Amino acid sequence: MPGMKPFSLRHTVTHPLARMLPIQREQLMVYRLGEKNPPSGHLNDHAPMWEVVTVKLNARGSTRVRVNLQRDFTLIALTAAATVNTALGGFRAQLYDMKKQLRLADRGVMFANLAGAMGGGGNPGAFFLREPWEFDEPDSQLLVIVQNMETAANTIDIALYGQVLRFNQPAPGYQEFPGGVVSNLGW
Amino acid sequence: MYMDGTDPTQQAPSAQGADDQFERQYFEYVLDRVVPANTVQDPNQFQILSDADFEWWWIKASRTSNLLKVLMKEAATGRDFIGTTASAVAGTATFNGIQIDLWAGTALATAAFPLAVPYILPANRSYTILLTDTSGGNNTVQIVFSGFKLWPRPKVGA
Repeated sequence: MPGMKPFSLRHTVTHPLARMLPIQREQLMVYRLGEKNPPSGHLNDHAPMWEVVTVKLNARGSTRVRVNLQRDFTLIALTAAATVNTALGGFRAQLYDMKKQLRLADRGVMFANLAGAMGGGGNPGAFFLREPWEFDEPDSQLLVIVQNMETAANTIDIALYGQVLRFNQPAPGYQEFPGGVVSNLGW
Repeated sequence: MYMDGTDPTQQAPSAQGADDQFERQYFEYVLDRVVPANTVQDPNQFQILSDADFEWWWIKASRTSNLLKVLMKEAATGRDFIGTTASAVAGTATFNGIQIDLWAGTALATAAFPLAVPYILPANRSYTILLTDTSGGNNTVQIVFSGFKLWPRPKVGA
């Protein structure tokens, strides 16, 4: 993302090693190495949003799910889980940007290669896109095709973490409430 | 191009501001709850303290069972932070949110979830966390919103 968040550390003690790349944890690197500040750019004033797709599929079943995205939804990271995940691989999922008619993968991505969960005690499995994907067309839709690879019924959760333009805000940089400030503290 | 006709790519770097005039104090809002077994959308509210806005950077969460779903709502605006508009949710009943393990994990497991773009929770504003348990047992949950209090920097000479 170009630009950076207006953010000052002038009077804040900073950790000199805080921006080092964690060994073997590149997929959790939220910001690019060497960026001085969170590179939010035009995503300033956007709100975090988790779009959740939950499907219960029969053995070897598949389905397609359309997600209507809020304005300016910008996909930043994925997490996923399945109730059944054996050597068969759990599930496959493929994402499409419907408005732009683009596939985000040429075939379904296996659960293990798509994303994992954060909690649960294992290695945290969120997969952060190195550059976010913007669904910036009006009325954008995300199509998710999910295929259960297991021979048993499976509940599959895919969470799409992104930023959205607040629904009551005409454009970034504007005050949240017309005529008023976001906070009541007067700054 | 935004709805008002401005083009963000044409803004001067200074328009974004290199210094936002705030000092940041590490702070965490902590929500503790024992969710009764099989409770659906158990409401838990927390309010940002009145002294400063809060810049939210991380989510941390611990739980007894991962069979727990989370919804988060902002009271003043009605904003849902966790939603679904999925057209087909085969076999699923009411949407009760994101599975807690997909939202955040523990700091112990280095699984705190980082917000790529920090979000400001304004002072005094209330947030509701709705927790749904399907584990069949009481679920002890702690959710931590980690970030900074934003203190306006005193004007020099003022």
